[in-house]
Amino acid sequence: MCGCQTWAEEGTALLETAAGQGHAYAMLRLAQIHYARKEPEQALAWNTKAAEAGLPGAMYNLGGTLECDQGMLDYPAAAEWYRRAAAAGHASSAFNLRTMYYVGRGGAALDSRACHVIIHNLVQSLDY
Amino acid sequence: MDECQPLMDGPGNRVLGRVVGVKPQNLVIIVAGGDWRTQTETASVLFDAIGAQEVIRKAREGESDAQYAWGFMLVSDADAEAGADERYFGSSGRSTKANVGWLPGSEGESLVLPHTRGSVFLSFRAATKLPYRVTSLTSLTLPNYSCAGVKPGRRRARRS
Repeated sequence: MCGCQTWAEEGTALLETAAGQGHAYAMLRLAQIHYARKEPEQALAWNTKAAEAGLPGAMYNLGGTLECDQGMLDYPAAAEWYRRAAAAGHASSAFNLRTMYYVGRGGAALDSRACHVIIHNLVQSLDY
Repeated sequence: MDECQPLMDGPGNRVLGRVVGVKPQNLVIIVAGGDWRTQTETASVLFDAIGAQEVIRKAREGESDAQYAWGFMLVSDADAEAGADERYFGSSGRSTKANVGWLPGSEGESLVLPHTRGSVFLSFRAATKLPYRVTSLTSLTLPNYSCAGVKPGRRRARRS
């Protein structure tokens, strides 16, 4: 008897309490937990809260959901979340945003050079 | 990754403290001297900074960073006991010295990925010993770390 269920329940309760106080990483962790438990609606809800709280990783997850999940598709919104994450230094989001522009999911399809200019300008705007 | 590099968290790039040692076999990045309230995504950072008992005490007092760290640890350990493939420790924060790749000298596999430029992600396979082992709801088995005490060779965390 490992006590796993007790640990998981107490751990989840602590994370929910922290998330309720605005702890963004706790929101993201709860999203991961619900995703692992195959509870996509709750996972999406927590992930959205974490993204709105400013976590680039959560923005990236949300962008991916809106770009790829059937029934959730919203390309302009996906591009916007990728852009916000990329602007916060999230490299994978910048790559996905570039791809969206390239295939025309971020608006009108752009050629490779135009995509490069957009991402170059985005990277230049990052403050490290 | 070099030791004694400044460690930054994600949004806002606040200085958390300094990496004072990297334990070779499990690649836990340790910080000291930082404000523990400026918590990164990595639960273990807070445990290293202020100690397990203090984390638990603060969690029970309602401190959200401590609740996050202790809750994260409990859930992660429960996941592993339940047969999860890997244990997730989240991003350990930013280091300009971090690179992509498999870090050497680890038990099991520890993957470093750049979520953003210079940040790292540590993922421990199930076979890897946890740096912390939950032995009850109020105690942890902790390794001993110090800046000068990072030595090669294996030092396994005790299992309950």
